[in-house]
Amino acid sequence: MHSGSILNHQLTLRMATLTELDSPSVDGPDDITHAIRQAQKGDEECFRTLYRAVQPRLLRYLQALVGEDAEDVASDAWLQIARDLGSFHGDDAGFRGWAATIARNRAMDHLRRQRRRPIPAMSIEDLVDRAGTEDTAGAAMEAISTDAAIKLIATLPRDQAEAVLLRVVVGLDARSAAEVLGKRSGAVRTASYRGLRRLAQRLQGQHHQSFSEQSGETE
Amino acid sequence: MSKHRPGQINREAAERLLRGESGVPQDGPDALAGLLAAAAAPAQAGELAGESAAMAAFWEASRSVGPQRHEQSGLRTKVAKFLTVKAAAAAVALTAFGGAALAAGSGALPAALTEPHRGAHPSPTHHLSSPAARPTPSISPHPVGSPEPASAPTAAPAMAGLCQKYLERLKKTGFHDANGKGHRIADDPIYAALVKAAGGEPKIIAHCQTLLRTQRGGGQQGHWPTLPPGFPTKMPTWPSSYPPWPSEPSTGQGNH
Repeated sequence: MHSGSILNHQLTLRMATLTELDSPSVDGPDDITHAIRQAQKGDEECFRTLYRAVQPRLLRYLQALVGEDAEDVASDAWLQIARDLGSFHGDDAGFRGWAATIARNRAMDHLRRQRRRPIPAMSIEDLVDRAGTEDTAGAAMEAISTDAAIKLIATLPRDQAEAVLLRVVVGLDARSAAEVLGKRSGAVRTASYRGLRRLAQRLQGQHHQSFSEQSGETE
Repeated sequence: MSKHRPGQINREAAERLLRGESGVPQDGPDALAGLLAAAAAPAQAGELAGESAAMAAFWEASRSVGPQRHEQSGLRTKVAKFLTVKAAAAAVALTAFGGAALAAGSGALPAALTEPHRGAHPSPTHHLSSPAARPTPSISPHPVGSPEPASAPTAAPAMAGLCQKYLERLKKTGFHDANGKGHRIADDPIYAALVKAAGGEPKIIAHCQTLLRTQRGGGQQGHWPTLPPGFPTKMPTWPSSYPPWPSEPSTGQGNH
């Protein structure tokens, strides 16, 4: 991921685009379920469809787990997804959960090998500054790149970051996210709520600082 | 603009945010919703840089479990086998799958997957052009339109038997049958299918070499009969241009 160039792409956000990875113009759930079946029969183009629909989600999730090694780990995951696709049973959501589980396992293997967790300790100020935002007054987060958003979420404690990303980015419900994480869904809900609160606090701090030029980041 | 104090998200609002529901309440935390929307924004081309490697993995997997795919995919998957996934992304994309990689980088992606804002984003090919972790083998699958004879047909075993028989006979008698009447062994009706498949008698040897080599997985060039001097058919130059794959047992045996 070339964060520099991506950070330069500021997305103008609209409130109505929360589910853009799920938007109808991308392949819908039924299309994906169909693509799963066809790919299981050996259809290359359908596998490509699956890859394009799911890979961005996996990659963003993996960035919170393994940082800049996410692409390598994602490649490992797709190797296994391709190999084990025939044994998968389920629909679109099930496939995303299955793929996320594979990706997470590969990430854990990777971390065991690396013995490190390269989550960047980056403040919201850094992220917004790097995104080139000049209009700091009042609209700090109205223009933030996907990359910066993922990096900010990745600064959460890992259980919170994973819970938020599995739900928001991978698009799983609480129960499916809990299955991926091997936890009870109540615990995952709590982690995700805490993660959101902490993110809100940080954003609020940034917002406050933007206005008052004070050090608003208190954590 | 948020009027909220930090930490004031109730569970209901949090659940809506996590579900990505578009109907974010008016009093919801704007900045947080914006952050989550950015996290779930449409795919960017750079995120799909590993597509070639993933497709190679799919081809490999399909080949080992599914019905026999067309012959060239076998070569592709051999390529994939010898490279790490990352190297495959570079080497394979630059050879066999160049078209797909280019398509991904040149706007052939579904419009919805590309970032709708600010058209010019970096091409994903810069990921692919990074130096491969291992040297790229100098071999590539047959280019389309290769003058080489067609690859082995699916009815390979029967044709391979004909080839064996033809070559054995050729070895014993030469091109003209030993009965002295001057007719060529290729004129024997039992070889009619072979002559047809090869596209004429002069191409039989090349055709059979392709076929048998595919059947055996290569590496047995020494098997071929010595041709009589002056034989008009050009011998393919495979032994030099086509290094054998290192120890891959029983390639093609699954066809039987």
